[in-house]
Amino acid sequence: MKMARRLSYAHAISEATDQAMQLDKSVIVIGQGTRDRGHIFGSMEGIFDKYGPDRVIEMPLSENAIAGICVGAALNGLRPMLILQRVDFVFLALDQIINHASKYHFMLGGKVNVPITVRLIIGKGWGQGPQHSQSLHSMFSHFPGLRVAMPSNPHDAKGLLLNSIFCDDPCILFEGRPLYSLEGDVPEKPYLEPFGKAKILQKGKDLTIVATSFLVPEAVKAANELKAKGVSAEVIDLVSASPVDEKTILNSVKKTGRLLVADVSWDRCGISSQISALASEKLFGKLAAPVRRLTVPFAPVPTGVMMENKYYPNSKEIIKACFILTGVK
Amino acid sequence: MKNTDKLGILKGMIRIRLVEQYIARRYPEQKMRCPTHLCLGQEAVPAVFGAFAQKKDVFVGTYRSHGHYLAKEGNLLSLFAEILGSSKGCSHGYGGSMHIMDESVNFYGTSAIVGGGVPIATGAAYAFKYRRDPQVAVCFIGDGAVEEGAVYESVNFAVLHDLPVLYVCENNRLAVTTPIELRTKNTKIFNRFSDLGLKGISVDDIEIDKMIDAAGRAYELARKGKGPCFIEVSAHRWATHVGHDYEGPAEYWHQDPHDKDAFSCPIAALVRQLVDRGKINMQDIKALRGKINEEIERTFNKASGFALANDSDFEDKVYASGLLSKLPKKTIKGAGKKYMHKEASKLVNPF
Repeated sequence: MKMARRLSYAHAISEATDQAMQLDKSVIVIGQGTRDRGHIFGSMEGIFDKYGPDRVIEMPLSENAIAGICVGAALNGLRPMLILQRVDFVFLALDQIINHASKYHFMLGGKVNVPITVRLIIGKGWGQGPQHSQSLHSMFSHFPGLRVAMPSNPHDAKGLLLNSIFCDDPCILFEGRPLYSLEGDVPEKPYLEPFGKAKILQKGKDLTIVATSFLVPEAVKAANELKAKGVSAEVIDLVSASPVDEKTILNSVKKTGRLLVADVSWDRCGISSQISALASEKLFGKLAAPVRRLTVPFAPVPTGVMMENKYYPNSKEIIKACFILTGVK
Repeated sequence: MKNTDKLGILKGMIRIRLVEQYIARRYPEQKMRCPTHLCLGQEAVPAVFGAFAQKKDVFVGTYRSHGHYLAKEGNLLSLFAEILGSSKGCSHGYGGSMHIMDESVNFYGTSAIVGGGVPIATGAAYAFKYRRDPQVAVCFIGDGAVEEGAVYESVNFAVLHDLPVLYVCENNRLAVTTPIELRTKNTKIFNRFSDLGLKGISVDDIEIDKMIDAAGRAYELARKGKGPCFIEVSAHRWATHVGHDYEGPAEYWHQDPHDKDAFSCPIAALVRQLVDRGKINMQDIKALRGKINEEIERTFNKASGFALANDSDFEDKVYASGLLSKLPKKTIKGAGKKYMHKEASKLVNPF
């Protein structure tokens, strides 16, 4: 039997990029640090050497113009991928992403497409501090016209990146920096993972945990520990923040009657509010307990290591929340 | 290339002016229900740059772009239909006057965000250069746009990559209603990009020969791969920022183009030159205006008869494609074992 092919999250992204560029000459990449020795944390390894400066463009620090240049190139037949090493820099590019890219197809009568992919790296952990590690998927999912996903493992990182590059709409991908070294099974051939499809990672009957990005591995860990306490948790990786896979979530919660949303962003007007609203609108009367949300505190992340460790929720806090939801101690 | 002779340019200018005057006349009827920004007084730039454009060249305009659309051989009926809110409009009624889009003439979506089209035109130029295609992207902006950071960012990128893009700045000294003196110390715009390496030139829109010369050279350089160019054109906006009011000699320039009140009118300036040289007479102008006005009236009436766009399936129109994309059909190589069990590089910036 053939051994499973294991790649890191970072290299799954490199491979997807390489394959997309082989598949289609209109695929170009633009970002800062594309040719330095770090290869954007390994996620661009081998790409510049193979494709050269016309297809792998080193960007000046001009986020808004570069996003717009991607839009203009996309309107004229290219499929640009923009990489921002730190998610927070995307605020500088919002005029082009929100006012232009997300609206052009609709506003111009459906006659043009803007096939751009924006890779945003959440630098969570190791003292990255308040301007290097925000999780902004909730904000982007607010706007019609964008596809928003947040792969939590190497397999999905490759499939979702390929799906984004060959999508005719603007796509935003959030990559958790702490996930980059995570290894997983990654088929060698190019393949697609769709938007709007959540994944049930573990079946359960007592409660549903919907988790995002780097809280997904924590949720799986929590579910395994909960088993020993006799609690059977169903773990769902949300995968896409826009659109949200309502069907998978609702079917699960219909069965379990209890919902915990564990999200890496803030609770207010966040994706956790959205999923909570979904459950209350569609499953009113069928819930055995109020929906619970576990998010980061409503404060920027502090840099100091002790405080940072406290700031991010982990499997222990997920377990605690599950105990409250189920009444088990 | 279209007619770059002065008679052709003159006809283009007059047509744009008469269309805008017609819109102004009918605007109070409340049938054109969208913010409408007229280019009355500023017809020279679109006419001249349109005359030099090839069909494959791309124009990116602003919210004040009726003239640029017509100059790019845009369809008058589609323009009227769009402003009137019909699905037969060039943007199917979804855009209105500020968002004119017509891929059949490579007129690419005008933006209501000042300076918003500048990166987009620059990106279009990158695509042309990438494909080794001798196309030019022409980006029209006003003096307000050069206060936006994205313009500097875009110019820097265009110069760095020698992109075939022309930045044409119609300096009417107004941003909405704020005069340029309240917005900047140095009111000369064209040379403020020179430190970035951008070639710049400044002309007045009544100096039609200079403008024609500048436009012709800029197109040629861009098409030959010699990089971008910035052309500042001093112009006068007779129209209010938005809406149908306007002043200036629009109503009487054609009675006597030598009248001193018509001095700021680029059309009168060109007519004076052509009349003085015996290329045209005022009877010709009268006949031309009559013919164009008849076309406008007929076209507007036709557009007025179109049903208004009345879709309800807005949510179905947001995305161009579904949730699952399609991979191109091509056999390619994977990375094999190259990345297997290999730690991602932590060099330079380990975290």
